[in-house]
Amino acid sequence: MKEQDIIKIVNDFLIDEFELEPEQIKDDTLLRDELELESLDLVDIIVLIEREFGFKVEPTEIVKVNTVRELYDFITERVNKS
Amino acid sequence: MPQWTGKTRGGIAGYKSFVFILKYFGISSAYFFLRFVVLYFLIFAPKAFKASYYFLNKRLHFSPFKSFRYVSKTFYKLGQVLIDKVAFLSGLNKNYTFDFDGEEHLRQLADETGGVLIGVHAGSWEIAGHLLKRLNTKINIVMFADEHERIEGFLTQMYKDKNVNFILIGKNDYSHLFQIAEALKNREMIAIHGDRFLPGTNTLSKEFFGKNALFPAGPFLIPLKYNVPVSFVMAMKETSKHYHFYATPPKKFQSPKNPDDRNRLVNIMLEEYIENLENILMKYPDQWFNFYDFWGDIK
Repeated sequence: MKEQDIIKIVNDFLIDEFELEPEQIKDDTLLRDELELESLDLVDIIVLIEREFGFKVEPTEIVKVNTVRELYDFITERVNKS
Repeated sequence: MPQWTGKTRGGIAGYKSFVFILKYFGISSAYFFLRFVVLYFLIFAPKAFKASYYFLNKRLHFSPFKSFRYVSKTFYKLGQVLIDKVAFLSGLNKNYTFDFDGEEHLRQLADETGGVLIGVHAGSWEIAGHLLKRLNTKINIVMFADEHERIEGFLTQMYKDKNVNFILIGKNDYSHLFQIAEALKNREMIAIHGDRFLPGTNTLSKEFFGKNALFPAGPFLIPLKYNVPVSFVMAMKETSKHYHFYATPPKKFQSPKNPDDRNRLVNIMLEEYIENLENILMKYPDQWFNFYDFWGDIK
C-alpha cells in the first residue's frame, strides 16, 4: 500500500470520527496536546489500524506515537513489513 | 501539585489481624481493639493526620479542636469500615442493616443499557460493591493494578460468588480501555473511582470545598465516549452496623465526537460529581478517606 493511501485513510478517519477540520491535521500536529485525543480515542485508532491495515497493535506501541506524522510512519512501516 | 502515589497503606497483615480478632472475639471486640490502632496512627501517621486535619480545618472550616476530634473519628471510622469488610467475608453480614437511596436507578441501568458508576474513596466502596450484588448483573470494578495486587486474595474471596470482574489499570498500558469498551458493549456495569489518578494521567482542576483540586479525567470521559448513562454511587457508614447506599439518577449526556465539545461536557459532569460529593461529605465529614495532600495546599 502506498503512503498516500495510508495518509488518506488515517485523515478521513480522524476527520470523521473526531469531527476535526482537515486543516487541523498536519504532520507535526500533536495527537494528545493539539487534537486533544484521549487514551480512549487511541483505542479507536488501534481498532482502525487493525481493521483497515490488517495488523495487530499492542497498546504499548501506540503510547509512543505522538504526532500525526509518527502515526503515518508507524502504519507505513508495519504495512511494508508484512 | 502533590498527588496520590499509587500506594495504599496497610495490607494483608492488617486484614489478617482483624480476621483473627473477629473470628475469636467478635465485631464489638474488634471495634474496641481498633481504638488502640487509631491511637497508634494518630501518633505515627503524621502525613495522614495532616491531610485529614487540613480537610476538616481548612476546607470544612471546623475549629482546631473539632478538627482534631474528627481526625480521630475519621481514623476510627476507616478502621470500622475495614473490620466490616472482613466481617462480610466471614459471613457476619446478617448483623448489618442498610438503607438504599436510588437502587431503582441502578436496576434500570442493569436491565436496560448498563452504564458507569463513579464512586469515591469515602465510606466503603467494598460494601457498595457487595450491595451491587442485588442487581444481578455483571459489575466490572476498575482499579489500579498496584492497589489490587496488595489485596488481591482478599478481593477474590470477597467477590468469589458474585458476578464481579476486576479491570486493572496498569502504567503505560491501554488494555483496561479495551476491557471497559467490551463490557459496555455487552451492557454491563463499570464501577470506577472519580477521585484518584496516577501521575502522568489526564486531570481536571475543579473547585472542591472552596479550593481547586485535581480530579482524573478518565472516569468522566467513559460515559461520553461510549454513550452510556452515569450514576454517582457511595455507601456511607451511619452507625456501627448500618450503612446507607446512595446512587444518583442515571444521566446520559450527549456523546460528542469533537474533543472540544466533549471537554465541555466532561467539566459539567465533574461539577455534578463534586456537588454530590460535597453534599455527602458535609453529612459524613468523618468519612473522607483520601489521606494525602488532595488540594496540594499543605505546607
